[in-house]
Amino acid sequence: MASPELDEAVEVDVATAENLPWMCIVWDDPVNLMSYVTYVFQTVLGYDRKRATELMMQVHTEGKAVVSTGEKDKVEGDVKKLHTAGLWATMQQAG
Amino acid sequence: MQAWRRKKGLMRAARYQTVLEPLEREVLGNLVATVSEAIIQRAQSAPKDELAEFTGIPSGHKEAPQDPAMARLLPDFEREGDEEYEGDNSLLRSLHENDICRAKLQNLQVLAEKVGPDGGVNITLSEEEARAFIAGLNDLRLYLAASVGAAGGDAVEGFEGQAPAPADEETTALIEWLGYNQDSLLTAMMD
Repeated sequence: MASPELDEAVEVDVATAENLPWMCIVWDDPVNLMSYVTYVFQTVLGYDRKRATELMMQVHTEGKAVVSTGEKDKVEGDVKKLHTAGLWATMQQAG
Repeated sequence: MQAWRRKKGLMRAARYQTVLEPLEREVLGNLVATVSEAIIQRAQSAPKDELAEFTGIPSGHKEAPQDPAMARLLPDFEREGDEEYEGDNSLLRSLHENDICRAKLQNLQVLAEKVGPDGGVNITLSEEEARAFIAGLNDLRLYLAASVGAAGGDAVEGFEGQAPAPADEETTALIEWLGYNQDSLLTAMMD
């Protein structure tokens, strides 16, 4: 059996930077309409209307929201689609 | 303009219709041409690099546009100050900017066909055209707002290009009218 110390060491190893998921963040801007941002979250990211509206309100009131997470390629694709739609999105690694 | 209306027949897919004033059609058509031209110029000025030509992998600009209006249409992928920002951000831009320009031009092309010199004041859109129309209208609003400094710049730093021109009444009214147009079409689509 592995000792508790060894288990801890394994966990630290798994959590190296390479394995941390990425986040797609949408920032508030004064031009995009609230109705349009909700529509984009539905059509581009596939959220239902309720979730899309919640995320839009979070962007509006808090200045930003994490709208998707995952592997770098997936999040990179989301940022690209959101830029195509005209939203102000960036990506960063979690942690 | 009239508010957008959804026409749904029994035998065919939904269509979206409106009627513009002649002056509205002209102003919208001119703006579509201006923004399309700016995006084309940006895409055509992308650096030709030998590796890209050799491998066939497209490479676009590595730096954000100097023009604040174009910088808003093509923002950075990563936020300045992030750990990975140096290098990674410019790589992401060079990989994706050309595709984004192409998609934006395709959206604007739908507007150009409907309201340009060969278009008219009576506009009918299919569902697919409506999606392109809405995204195109949004880019026009962003472009205008950023060109007069109304698009904000404090949420994400990094706009170090030219200072935007001050807002005039005409531009402000046009941004609002584009917003009305867009919101009206969105309402018709989401009902």
